[in-house]
Amino acid sequence: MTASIKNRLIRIILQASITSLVLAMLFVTLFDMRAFRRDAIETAVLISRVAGDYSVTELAFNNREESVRTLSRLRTIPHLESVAIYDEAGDLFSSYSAGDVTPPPSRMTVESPLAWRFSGRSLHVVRPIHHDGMYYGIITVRLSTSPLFSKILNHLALLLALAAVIVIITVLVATRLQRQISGPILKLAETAREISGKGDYSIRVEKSGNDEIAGLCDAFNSMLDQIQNRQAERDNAIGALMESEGRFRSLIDQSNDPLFVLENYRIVFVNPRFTAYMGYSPNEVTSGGFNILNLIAPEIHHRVVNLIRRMQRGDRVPNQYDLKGVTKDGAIIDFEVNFSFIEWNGKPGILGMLRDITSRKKTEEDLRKKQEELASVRMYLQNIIDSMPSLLIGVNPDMRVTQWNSEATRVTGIRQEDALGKEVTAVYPFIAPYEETVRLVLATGNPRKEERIAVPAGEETLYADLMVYPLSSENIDGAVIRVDDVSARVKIEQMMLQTEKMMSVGGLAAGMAHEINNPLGGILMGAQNFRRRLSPGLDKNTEVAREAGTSIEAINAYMEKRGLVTLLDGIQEMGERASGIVQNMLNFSRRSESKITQVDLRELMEKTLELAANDYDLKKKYDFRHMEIVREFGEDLPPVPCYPQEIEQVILNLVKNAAQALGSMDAASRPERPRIVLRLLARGDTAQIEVEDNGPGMDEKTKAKVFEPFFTTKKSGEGTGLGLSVSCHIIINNHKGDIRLETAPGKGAKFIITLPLTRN
Amino acid sequence: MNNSSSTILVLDDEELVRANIVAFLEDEGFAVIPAESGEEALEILKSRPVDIGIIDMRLPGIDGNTFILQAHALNPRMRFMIHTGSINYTLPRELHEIGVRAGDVFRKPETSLADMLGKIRTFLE
Repeated sequence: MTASIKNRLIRIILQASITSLVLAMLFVTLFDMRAFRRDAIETAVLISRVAGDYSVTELAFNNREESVRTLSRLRTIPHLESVAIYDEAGDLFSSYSAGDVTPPPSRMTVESPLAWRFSGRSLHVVRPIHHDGMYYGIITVRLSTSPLFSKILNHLALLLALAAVIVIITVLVATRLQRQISGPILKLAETAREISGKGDYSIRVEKSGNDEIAGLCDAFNSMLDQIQNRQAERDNAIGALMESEGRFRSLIDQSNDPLFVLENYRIVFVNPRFTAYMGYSPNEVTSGGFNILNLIAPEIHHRVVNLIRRMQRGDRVPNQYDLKGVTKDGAIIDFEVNFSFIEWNGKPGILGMLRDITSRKKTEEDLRKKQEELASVRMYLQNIIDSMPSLLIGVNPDMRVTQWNSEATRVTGIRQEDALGKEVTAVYPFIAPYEETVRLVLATGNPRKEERIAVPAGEETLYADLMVYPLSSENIDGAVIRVDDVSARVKIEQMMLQTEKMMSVGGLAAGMAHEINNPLGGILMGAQNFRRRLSPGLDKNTEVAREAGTSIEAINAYMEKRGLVTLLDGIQEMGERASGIVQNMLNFSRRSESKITQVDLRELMEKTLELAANDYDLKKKYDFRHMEIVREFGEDLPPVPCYPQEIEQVILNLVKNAAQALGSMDAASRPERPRIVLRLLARGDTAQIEVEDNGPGMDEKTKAKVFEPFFTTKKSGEGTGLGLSVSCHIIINNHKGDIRLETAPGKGAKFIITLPLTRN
Repeated sequence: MNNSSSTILVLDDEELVRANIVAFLEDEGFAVIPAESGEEALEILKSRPVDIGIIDMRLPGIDGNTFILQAHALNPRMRFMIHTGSINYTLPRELHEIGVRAGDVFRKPETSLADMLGKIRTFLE
């Protein structure tokens, strides 16, 4: 550095001084040469004129010796090489040459008044000689130019000498300059080197003088001050940092959250919790070959790759993510990761904190499920309340509606949103007579019940149960009004009552049956034996008659004549009728003990028809013999599980009803062939029984009530009005089947019973 | 078929019923033994071989079921028809086990003695 500054100084000074020197010498030389040439020309011209003028006389008088003498006087003129005079014709007249120079040419011609030229190392001047307008000849003067060259050489020598001097001076000056300028700079540099070498910013540069260098030193020193201050601050900060980093590390180590530190997206540190959580030891994850994607579930790799790409690009990214991770064991875990940018071992790094959210996710999921359940429970409860056949109205202590179910809407025609908040007696006038009851419940908190409130509805009477009970919840005051239409139940109860009566009759009959059946058996068998023993077909009869002195034929003739055979038939018939009555009475008691059996409905139908044919009432009024009984029994009908006696009863009832309907018609409207069609068919997994007549049919009103208890079209005392309702009960409740009616006035009636083929 | 080679026991406490069955079967040529009670009938069985018994259920002393079981013990080849006025009668298991079937049960009043005869004939075949 020292050499280079010095060299540069020398080079600059030398360039400057030598350039100016050369330029100066060049100017001086050129100037000298011009001056010399001008002097030489003036001298030569002067010589030519003077010598010419002098030579006019010699020429005019052709005095060659004089002319030579004149010319030789010129020898004192320095550097004159030769002078020659030519006559009018141009021939050499006289000449003078100094030393061993080239003699002048012997002939000369003149083209112009005066001509001069430099040729070789000489100046040639040619001049015509005139005098008073007369031409006398030519004079040539030749001067040597060698002094000029020697002068140039002198100049060059001087130049070199000067240059040498300049170089010496320059080196001296440069050395001095270097000492004055680069010295302090070098010192500065040395100090800087020392500072950087030792790292000691307390060293200062000594300043000398008050120039720019000194200013530089001041600046340098103040810079050092600043550096030193900052260093001190930083040292303090680093000290603090070291301390806090120590704390930080121990925090990280002790953290309950799994933590890791990334440097360049590679894991450089993990805490024990991380190892516990993810299953990887610190060595495993910080080794060069470990990819952080190993910690991430494959299906979200792209998310993480994207995130890293964006971070590398320097995009702003959120510092929290919910990710799905994979532990070393391959277990899938949900965690939340939080990033913060930190300095780690003096380099920028990323601190990542994992927080397991598997349980949070599960909690969220559970919560969501719970809410759904709650919502569905709420819906379900609302549904239950709405689906209840009961009319439910909630009221607050001011008797205003707080709850209004769909049955309430159905009964009153007032929608829930219109009813809420209204006075209950205004939207549900039925409750008005029981307002006191409701108030009582609200006041005492004890439920009240009003049963079987008769409600007239057109022709019939409906029955309702009213129940008012207080709301049991602690923070809700009020009451619930519940109204049930119990008409059907009341009717069923009435029916049950009736049935019970008949059941007791049946029970009585069962007890009596044995006692009655024995004598009946005696009567019937006696009658049969009686007839047999009168029959001529029996050998023993003939034999015994002969022994008695008569003949069996005679006895028969006697009996015929006396009407004994008819009487005997009467005994038989009456006995059978009594037996039938007992049998009918027994039907009620028998039902209760019957079991479900697989029944061939064809057989059952035949048996039922037989029963109907023997039915006393039918025989009396609506004789079957006048009716066509059509059997349309499907061949593919499997056995049907049922209570055979009950089905028998139902079909018998239907057949009797059909026969009665046909029999009740007057002659005009009666069909030509009264007909009852009985059908049996298999329909999917049900068996279908149809009983159809071509009788008078029924109108809509009758049809609607036909299955209701105590509804009858028969004359008072003839029908109980229970037949079809009992049938309905048997088919629907006991057999889980269905019974329905197709009819129209004048179109006959068709009862259709379906029975399931399988029973649980 | 020679009906006289077969013996039928008619056990019924109702005299008229018993007499009618006996008269009918005698007319058909069977050897018929009437009995009024189970005890009496068992005594008879000890002294005479009987092929078929027509047995009433409700009897003074031992009932029809008991009689049939004891009679079967005496003579396992004997066949039985039940003739009962009780409408609640169902065939007990023990009778079923010794070969009595629902079709062998006749209910009083039996309006057709010919049905009874048909059953006797199937037993004898």
